[in-house]
Amino acid sequence: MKFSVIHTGLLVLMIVLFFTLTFQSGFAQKILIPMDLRQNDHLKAYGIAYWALTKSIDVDWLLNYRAGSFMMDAVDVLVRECRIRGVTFEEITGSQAAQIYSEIGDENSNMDAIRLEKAPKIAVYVPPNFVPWDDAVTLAMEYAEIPYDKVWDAEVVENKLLEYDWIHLHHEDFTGQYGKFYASFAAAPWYIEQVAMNEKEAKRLGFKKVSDMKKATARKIKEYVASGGFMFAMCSATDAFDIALAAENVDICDVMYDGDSPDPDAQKKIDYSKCLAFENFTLEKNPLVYEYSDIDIPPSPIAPAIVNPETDYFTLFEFSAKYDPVPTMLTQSHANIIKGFMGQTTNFKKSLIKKSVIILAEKEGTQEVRYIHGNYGRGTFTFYGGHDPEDYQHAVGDPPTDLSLHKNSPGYRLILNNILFPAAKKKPQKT
Amino acid sequence: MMKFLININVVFSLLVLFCHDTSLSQKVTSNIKLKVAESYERSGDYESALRIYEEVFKKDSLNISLFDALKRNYLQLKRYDDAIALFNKWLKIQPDDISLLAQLGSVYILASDEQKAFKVWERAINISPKSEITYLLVANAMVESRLFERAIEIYKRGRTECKNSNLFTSDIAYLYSIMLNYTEATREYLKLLSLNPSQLSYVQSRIAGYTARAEGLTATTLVVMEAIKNDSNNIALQQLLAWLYMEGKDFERAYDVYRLIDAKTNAGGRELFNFAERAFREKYYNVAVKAYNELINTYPKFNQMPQAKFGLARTLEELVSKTDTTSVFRTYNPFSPISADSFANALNAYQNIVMQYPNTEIAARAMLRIGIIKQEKLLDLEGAKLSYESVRRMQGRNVSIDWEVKLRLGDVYFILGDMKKAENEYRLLIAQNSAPPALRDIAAFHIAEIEYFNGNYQIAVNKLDSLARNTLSDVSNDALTMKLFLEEQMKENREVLKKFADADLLKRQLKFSEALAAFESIEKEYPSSLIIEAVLMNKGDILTVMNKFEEAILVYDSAIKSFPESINLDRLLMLTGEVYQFGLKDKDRAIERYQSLLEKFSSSVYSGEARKRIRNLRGDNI
Repeated sequence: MKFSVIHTGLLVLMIVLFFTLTFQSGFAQKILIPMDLRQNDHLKAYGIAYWALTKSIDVDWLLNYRAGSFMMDAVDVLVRECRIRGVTFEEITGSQAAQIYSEIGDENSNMDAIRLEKAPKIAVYVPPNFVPWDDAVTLAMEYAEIPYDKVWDAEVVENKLLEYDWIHLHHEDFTGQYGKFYASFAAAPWYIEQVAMNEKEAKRLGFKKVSDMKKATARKIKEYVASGGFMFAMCSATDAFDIALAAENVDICDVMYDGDSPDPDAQKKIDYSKCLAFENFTLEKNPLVYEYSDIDIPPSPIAPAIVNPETDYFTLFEFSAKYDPVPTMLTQSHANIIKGFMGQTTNFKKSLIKKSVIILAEKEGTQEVRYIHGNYGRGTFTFYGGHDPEDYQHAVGDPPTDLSLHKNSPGYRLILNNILFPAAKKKPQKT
Repeated sequence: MMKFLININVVFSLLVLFCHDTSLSQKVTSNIKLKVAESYERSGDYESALRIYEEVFKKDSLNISLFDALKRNYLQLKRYDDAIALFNKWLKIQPDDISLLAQLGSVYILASDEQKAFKVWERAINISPKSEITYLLVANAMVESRLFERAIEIYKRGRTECKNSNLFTSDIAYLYSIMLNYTEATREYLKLLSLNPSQLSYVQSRIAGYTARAEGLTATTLVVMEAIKNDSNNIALQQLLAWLYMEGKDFERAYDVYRLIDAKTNAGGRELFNFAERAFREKYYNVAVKAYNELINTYPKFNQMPQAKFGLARTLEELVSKTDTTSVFRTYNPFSPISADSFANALNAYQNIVMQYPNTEIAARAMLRIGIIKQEKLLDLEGAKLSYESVRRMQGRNVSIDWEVKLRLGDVYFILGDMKKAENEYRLLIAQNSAPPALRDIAAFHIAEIEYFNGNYQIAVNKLDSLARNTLSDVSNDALTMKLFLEEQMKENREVLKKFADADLLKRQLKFSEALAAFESIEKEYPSSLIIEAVLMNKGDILTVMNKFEEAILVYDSAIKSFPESINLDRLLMLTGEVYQFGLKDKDRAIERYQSLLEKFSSSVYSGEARKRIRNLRGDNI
């Protein structure tokens, strides 16, 4: 009897040891979603990471490890979802995962692991007649299946932004000049409708002019950032936003935009201290010129004539993953030289960018800065020039970009980096 | 005396000259100053420009250009009080200048003094309250000040005062539309239409500016419907309504209106015909059928009756045909069996055309369609053959019909077992250099297949090789697949290949039971041959066509199990998924199979379709 008890105990121990070892060495515990050239669909991979967060599955963003890969627990439903969405993944064991974390954690490696905590609640500032394919960010979110809410002036002015973690500004002209499309599209039905809609809204909210309403909205968004919000803007929403802030008490709109002449001393009266990113810029006073100021470079009216699409690229900067995790997150990409693309605002003139702002990407050897990021109060903002990373010169009325044909777009990845980054758990800054 | 008079004259002349010279010199100086002022203005230095204008104005205060220049610059510099003073100065001289008063109102608005603005505008109206121009001027000033609602009020007041309820229609309609008040905008445009029905295109173009939006379309349609209730005989309104329905893709309602229009305009069926054609193009087949039928029955003398009848037959055909993605993977769709009755209407319609319009191109087309329906949908090959042979005998057919007949006749002869005739048809097509290369390639591929079925494997391989090399051809992939299959089997066992070819031919000839027996015999006789994989796949296909879905699954699964390294595994998983989804209607098993495909063959050519089907089955909103 004693013998059989000992034998039984030994047998149980052996079985336990066997399964433990087998489990550790043979069965997948984690899945790694690589974001290097092995990835079939980079854009949907962001969607998977977002989706995992909504299912309370932990996601680690491995900065600079295989171009910013994601590591998650190997849950069946997640594995299936990856397959269904066409996202490449690798099943790895616990020890393999440990090895990866060890490699990342090495002081000599420029990598870090950021835990993504919760799926951010996203708002997109768009007018009611907006269509998703008109905007690169909403296109990317639709493709990656990341949900978002739409807000407009009323919601912003009524402080509804505080319900959201992240806001994207559609290509809105916060200066109240309707994108300065007047010269080309004054008689176009969409332009007339846009004017009517904005005027109606301004009246409803108690503003005398549309420009007053837009400037108030810009200020509210700035307050939202100050209180901890994340703001992402592309194309004309970047410089127009800052110009609107600077012109808080100055009329810079000509008569076709707001019914009266602009302040002739507007240039002297604008206050650069109110801007987030830019300073010392000169306003474009001619209401018929498709430009707001000299921030945009090259200027939109002449850009098509002087820029060669074949040689138009910009370079992402590399940051320290351990010491500068935020810019590192924002620049995760499997290519660090990215094809350029135009927009109403394409690049930012370097000399007009505030010193406190971090430059994330630029065209080397020039004044053309493409991608910037900064802090304001407890929040952050990111500005990205250009309209659509996979449509070199998008014009009004052009057909939408089909992202299934550009599912590995590095230009679009930069947009999606911004969407995930608010989910990151704040780590104590290394010193 | 004379001398004195002469001296006086001289002095007088000199005096005149001197005065003239002074004023001329002054004028020249003023002009120069104005030019300088204009330069300042152009360069944006309004202050400097204004100083000069004010200086010159003091000496020439009745100069309208100067007035305009001062006004312009005061407004530019937002010196509204100065602008108002300027206006008032001029109004003292011309107190009844309505245009001035209208402009002054705008300045008061800029100066944020609405009360004074409206007082001034009222004064302007009271000067000439019965004149249209008064209201135009005042309303324009209001529009410039973005006071659209007030402008509309003024226009309407003008109507009352001028006793003309149709005045300012375009202006009011435009203002309503830019205020997004589509209902009122449409009401105004309809006034235009009622005055002059020939304005329909203009009105449509104005309304089109806002009917692209759903709320615009709905509001406009309701207004037009309301108007028709009061004036049902108004054709222009009916045409507008029909157009609106089409814009909203409500073809049923549009049809009702077109019927009315056709009758009321004595169009003799023209309106119905155009509508039916459009409905067909936009795939609204049910309503297209109704329209064609009505046209045919109501207007027997319609001058395009053959085209109308052909349109009807074509629509009846499309109504029954279904498009689906399963045909990507199979030659026939076994999941939606079609009975002969389904196509009876279409066939009768085509037959009538053939009888009524003998020896015309339209009759040839009709007979061709009969052949196609019989061949592809009803699998009535004898019937198809007779139809194609009939086409051949018809006069009036054109070359494109000829090409298609040759190819189809070749296919039919092939299936009926007459290889010589089949080959002959294909060769005739290939010999026609003007025929499209795509059709000639298909014919060439079929000739290679005939060689294969006749046991001439090397000849078949040679023909397939040249087709496979032309990567632009639609048949190159099929040619390559078949070539590789033949080369492999020729090396292994020609006897088995012959038996396989015979079984394959039976299947191609739709002799499914015999084909199944033949494949089973090969399976029994040569259980370890490499050809068994192809045998099992063919068996599975046949069983599916015979609606023996469960057996088909067993056979496919057996192939999967027996040939785990096969290059056809992804296709097999796809096929089993389809049988579960469309045959056995087992959603969960179907998803399982598609997922298995994704798991094992993520870069398969079928993976995109598999993903789509999973998401559809799951009910994902994509």
